[in-house]
Amino acid sequence: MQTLFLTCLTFLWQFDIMLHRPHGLNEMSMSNVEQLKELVRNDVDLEFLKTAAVAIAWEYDRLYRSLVSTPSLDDNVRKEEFGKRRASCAIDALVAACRRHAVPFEFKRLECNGQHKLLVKAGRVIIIQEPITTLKNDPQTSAYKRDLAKFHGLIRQLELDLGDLPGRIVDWSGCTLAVLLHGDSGGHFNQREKALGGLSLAIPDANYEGWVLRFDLHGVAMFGQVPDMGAGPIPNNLDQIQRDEVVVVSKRARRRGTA
Amino acid sequence: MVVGLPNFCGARLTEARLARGMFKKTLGDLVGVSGTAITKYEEGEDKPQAERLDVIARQLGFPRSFFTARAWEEDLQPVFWRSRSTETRTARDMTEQRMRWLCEVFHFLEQEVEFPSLKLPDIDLPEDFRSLTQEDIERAAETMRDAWRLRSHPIPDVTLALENAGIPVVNLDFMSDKQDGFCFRSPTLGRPFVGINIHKVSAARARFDAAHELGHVVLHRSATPQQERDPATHKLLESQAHAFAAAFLFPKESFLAEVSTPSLDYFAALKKKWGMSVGAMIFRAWTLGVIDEGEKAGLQQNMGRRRWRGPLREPFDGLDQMPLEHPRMLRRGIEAVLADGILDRRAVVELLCLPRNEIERLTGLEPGFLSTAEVEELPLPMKRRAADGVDLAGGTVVTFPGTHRRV
Repeated sequence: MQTLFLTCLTFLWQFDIMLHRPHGLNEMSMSNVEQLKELVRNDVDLEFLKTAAVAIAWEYDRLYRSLVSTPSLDDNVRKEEFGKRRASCAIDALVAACRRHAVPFEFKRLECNGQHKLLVKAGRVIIIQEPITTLKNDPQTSAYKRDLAKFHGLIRQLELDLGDLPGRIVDWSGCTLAVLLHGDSGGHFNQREKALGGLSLAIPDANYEGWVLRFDLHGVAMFGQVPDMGAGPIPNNLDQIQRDEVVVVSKRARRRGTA
Repeated sequence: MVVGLPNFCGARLTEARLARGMFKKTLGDLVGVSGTAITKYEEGEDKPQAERLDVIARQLGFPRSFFTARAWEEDLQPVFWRSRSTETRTARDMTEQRMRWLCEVFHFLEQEVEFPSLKLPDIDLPEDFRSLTQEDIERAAETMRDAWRLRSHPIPDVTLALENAGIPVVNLDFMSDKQDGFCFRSPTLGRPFVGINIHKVSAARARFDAAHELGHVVLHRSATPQQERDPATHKLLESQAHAFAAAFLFPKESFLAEVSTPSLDYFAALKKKWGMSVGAMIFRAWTLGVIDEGEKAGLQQNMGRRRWRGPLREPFDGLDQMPLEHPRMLRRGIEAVLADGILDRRAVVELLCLPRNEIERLTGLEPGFLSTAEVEELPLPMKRRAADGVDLAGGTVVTFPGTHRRV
């Protein structure tokens, strides 16, 4: 499957030209960063993101509780187990959010180890998840992620026929890779430190060695706040794109000068 | 010889009867006269007595003053109906009366308030709508977007867009899923009016209906009532308004940029952003050449397999997920009149001579908003029963007043 996946990767997208550099962030112009911001803001459904973020926080808590309620494990083993299983928290949350908001997703099987990796397609943004230890973590490189990032633009692949496709090679072109980074609050195994401590949506550079952009979603996950994704063409506030100009004035009041 | 109330208006009786979806015979049975008598009342050959008018008003649920006020005499043709072929004449008649009342309400309010002026840009289009091409329609939609400063982004509120441009919109529950909406232009009031049926429709459907009616306003200024009635030209008018609605809601440039994967899931994801139904997006993709005829048919078949076809079956069709848009122009008109302090709610209802709930529906007011305006008829005090007794000693009749019943 991976071979198929990689062989079907084709040409580069316009962003690839600027991101296909070792240290994309340094060399990218501000306008390109703004373009990326605009793309993410435009294509990633805010409600989807909020649902996923809130669900991840609950999944972390659920995982902690399930480990605590396993008496055969001591805290060191629980901590280790928590580290291994927290990726599934993000996967479960993302899949649930995808189903709720009708966002396409699928699991890709890696030929090298048989693992299934979740790919979410939110508009022109492909989202994968990645657990982190600290917020300063660099991307955890692996072959499939590097390939995704390198050819983040144009991924051509044979899709499974889920009953909705017109039986042809579907073009997933024009997509940018984004990574949902998530990590716990601390190193000890207790409820406070195993709560969701960081959550962000990050755009990697082409070599998957650094982050070009990161949107903090922790406030959304813990408090349901609206994520700040910077300035963009689609404002969150309706008034900014369409003002209510339906002004109805009383003629008498206008004559009196009170309207 | 005509007897009865001299100022009775037969046209008003027709309006009220049709608005209630009644046949003359039915109304006659309810008020105790023949169907022929109702015909005579309506045609002005006879006028009912005051008592008979009271019964008619009560049976139809209208204030008595409604039948003595002048009817809106303007010919509203052509009316662009967006409806299905199975729609009944009765259902259409019921809606037509509301259109006249809509004009009356607007006219009444316009005497008191200033509404936003009509802002429709001049678009260079062929005079004869039969010469319109898909490119013309796309260009017209783009021009409207530019003129209304909507750029190429999703339109947050289509109803607001219309009302910002001075086109009053009214949401009506037609109780008929065969009617989607209507649009007509009143020469007297100098502007078009748009009506949307919100009976069992999703927000995406209602938005499309509003954009569809805007299409008639923009594209079909020269269409005649005969052309609207003719099945062949009616079909063309509808398909052009459809194409305009799709182009207005999801511009070509944005559609081609965003729809890289024409799959049902992807369309469903876009639906929430653009407020356009999956079915409409499939059609749009086909119109723009993103998918071919076979792919369109395949996607539509798969919509059926997923049980997405039919009213309120697509994703995000729930009103809790995507709420309906609400008009505000007429509601604000009523509010401005009331805020002015010259007229209170009761005076508004009396001057309009329409049933309170009809005014509330037409103006988008909350049900019951004008209920304080109703004249409450207090029940007459019951006459107390008295008991008479005969004074056996004196032979006189003594009346004993009835005792108060304790509740």
